[in-house]
Amino acid sequence: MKTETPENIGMDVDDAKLLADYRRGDPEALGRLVEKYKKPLFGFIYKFSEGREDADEVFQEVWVRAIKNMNRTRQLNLLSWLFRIAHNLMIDRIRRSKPMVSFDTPASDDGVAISERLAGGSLSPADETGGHALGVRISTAAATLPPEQREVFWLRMQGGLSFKEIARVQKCSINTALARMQYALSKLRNELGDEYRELQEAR
Amino acid sequence: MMNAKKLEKWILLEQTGELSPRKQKILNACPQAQVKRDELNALFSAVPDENTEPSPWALTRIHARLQNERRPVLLPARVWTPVLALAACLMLVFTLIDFSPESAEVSVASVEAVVQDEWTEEFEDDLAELESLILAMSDTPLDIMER
Repeated sequence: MKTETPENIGMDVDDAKLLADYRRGDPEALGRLVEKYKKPLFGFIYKFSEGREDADEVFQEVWVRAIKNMNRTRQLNLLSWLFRIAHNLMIDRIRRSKPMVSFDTPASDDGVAISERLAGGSLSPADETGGHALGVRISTAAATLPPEQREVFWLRMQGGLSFKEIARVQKCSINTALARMQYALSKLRNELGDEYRELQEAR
Repeated sequence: MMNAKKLEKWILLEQTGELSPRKQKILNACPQAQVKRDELNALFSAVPDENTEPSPWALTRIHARLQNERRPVLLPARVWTPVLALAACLMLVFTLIDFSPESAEVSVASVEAVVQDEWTEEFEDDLAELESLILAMSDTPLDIMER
């Protein structure tokens, strides 16, 4: 397989232009950049944080660090760079022994704890009928994965990153990133059990 | 016939457009490929798409933080006050002490003059005269042993 070192991944021309505009004093350029990447980046951060407020803080910190250190990484892909910073922030949090997801803390602004959402009976009728039940179960099952596998899973699913970019974020080889994804999928299948089989039969 | 692990790996790479054309050809010829593709697609389509967004004021905060960090760093008063006081003291010291070469010569000359002082007869006579003068002015003997 042809491999490319992460350093060879160039920055998008539009991103480079927007960054240059921001440096020249155009605050709207930063707005356009944040808008462009907010969905995959915030979605990913949200998966690893303790609610929206916490995710908001990490999101802001990621952007501040990215812009501050941009001179050193001018040639890099911006989205990969943003995810790399988010990854480092999460590692720092783990080292500080601050749990990423506590089973007792609210998983979202609705104040429902993860432990409550894990139990099947806690799903609202709207969730059940709206087809969100399996999605919630996938999310809770993914939360039980080892951190590296969980990260690869959400970088791929939420961030939409390629395995080359994931490898860059995790500072590992593409094969390692792929293997982590495969382990994650295998565990998810086991966790979902009958629901996974039903899902396959329903298609 | 490709094993299941390899098949899944190649399909994962195919989804991200990272599979080489050569492997893509092999994958296309594999009869189980479509079954595996469908299985993975079904799972991935069930993964919830997180629709949460950052707060509306996130951008304002990011911008404000970046602006603050661009400003020159001003030291707090508790740091620069003692520095200013020290500078004032040093100024005072340098103003009061005369470091000019002339004054240095004078001080050297006075030291030399002191060194040149000797216990001469003339000096002893002066001293005796001073002693007698003091004795004349006072009733008590100068030498404590004479009491």
